[in-house]
Amino acid sequence: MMQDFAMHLLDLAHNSISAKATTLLIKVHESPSNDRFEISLTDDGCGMDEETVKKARNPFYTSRTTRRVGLGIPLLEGTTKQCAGKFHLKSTPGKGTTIGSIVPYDCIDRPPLGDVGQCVAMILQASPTLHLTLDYAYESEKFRLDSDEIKATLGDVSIDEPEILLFIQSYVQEHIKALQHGGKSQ
Amino acid sequence: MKTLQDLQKLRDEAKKRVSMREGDVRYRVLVGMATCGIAAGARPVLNALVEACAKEHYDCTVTQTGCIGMCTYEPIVEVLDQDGKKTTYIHVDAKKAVEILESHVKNGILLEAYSLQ
Ligand SMILES: Nc1ncnc2c1ncn2[C@@H]1O[C@H](COP(=O)(O)OP(=O)(O)OP(=O)(O)O)[C@@H](O)[C@H]1O
Ligand SMILES: [Mg+2]
Repeated sequence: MMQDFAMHLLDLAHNSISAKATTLLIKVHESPSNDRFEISLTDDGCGMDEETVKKARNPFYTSRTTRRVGLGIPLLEGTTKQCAGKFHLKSTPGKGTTIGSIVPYDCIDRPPLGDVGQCVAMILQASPTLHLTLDYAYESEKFRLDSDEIKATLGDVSIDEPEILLFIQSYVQEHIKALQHGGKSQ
Repeated sequence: MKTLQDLQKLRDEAKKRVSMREGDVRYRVLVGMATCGIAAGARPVLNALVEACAKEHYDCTVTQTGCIGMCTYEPIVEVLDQDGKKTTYIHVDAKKAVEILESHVKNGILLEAYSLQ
């Protein structure tokens, strides 16, 4: 089982990387005032045809050869259902895929958001060439991380150097925490 | 709060160190990060490896791989040496991960207690 949404994000990002995505947009929107919690991933990978999309929602489907079941997508669908939320998956062959979940913020069965900073750092570790954007919002306060902006600052130092990854991790953590706390005191 | 200016400082330090590196790294450390690995706790393992490498600068790279095909043994960490010899560590946690770096990667001593025989 996945203990938090950041784990789902990390796992689903691996699907995008396997699908040869060059760009990946991760959106997280927490809105207690609207009782809404939303995550999504949009990639420009190889995509899936309708048939494959249908199959992907079945835990007994996988295109991997090491194991007979694929779990990533059914697990997110499971987490979503557990909170009576909305799961969505749209894919176009050759164009890319969007997958996401919208659940009530106050649902007691909702797993916490988890460590998005660590998730982002690990995605970049898995695929340093990926153009990764994180769009985070708490109510209407926004934070964005763009891996291209980081790379521009880094010059010829690779984004997957351990110290750089740890920097990105706490940079994201700190900004998210600030928005969450700022949001609550308003 | 950290800013991108702080990143510039970090970059300059990293640059110095990277330029001192010579030749290939001695070991490649692989972590299985498919759904099975992540669900079994591979995330804190990977994080511990990255953190330890940032501190100690071990002579290795840390890379994520997909499903290694032995889901019941996850989290799995594989250590490959320059001759291509592979050691598979199973049921790894954050603490064991750091021990593997200290013993195997730093001192060249295999940790048989944690490895798949
Ligand atoms: N973003 C994506 N782009 C293209 N194909 C995808 C994408 N996500 C999933 N798929 C397809 O759907 C299948 C099922 O995905 P799912 O994450 O459920 O399982 P898996 O990745 O095969 O295995 P696991 O996640 O359990 O390690 C994948 O094998 C792949 O063929
Ligand atoms: Mg998957």
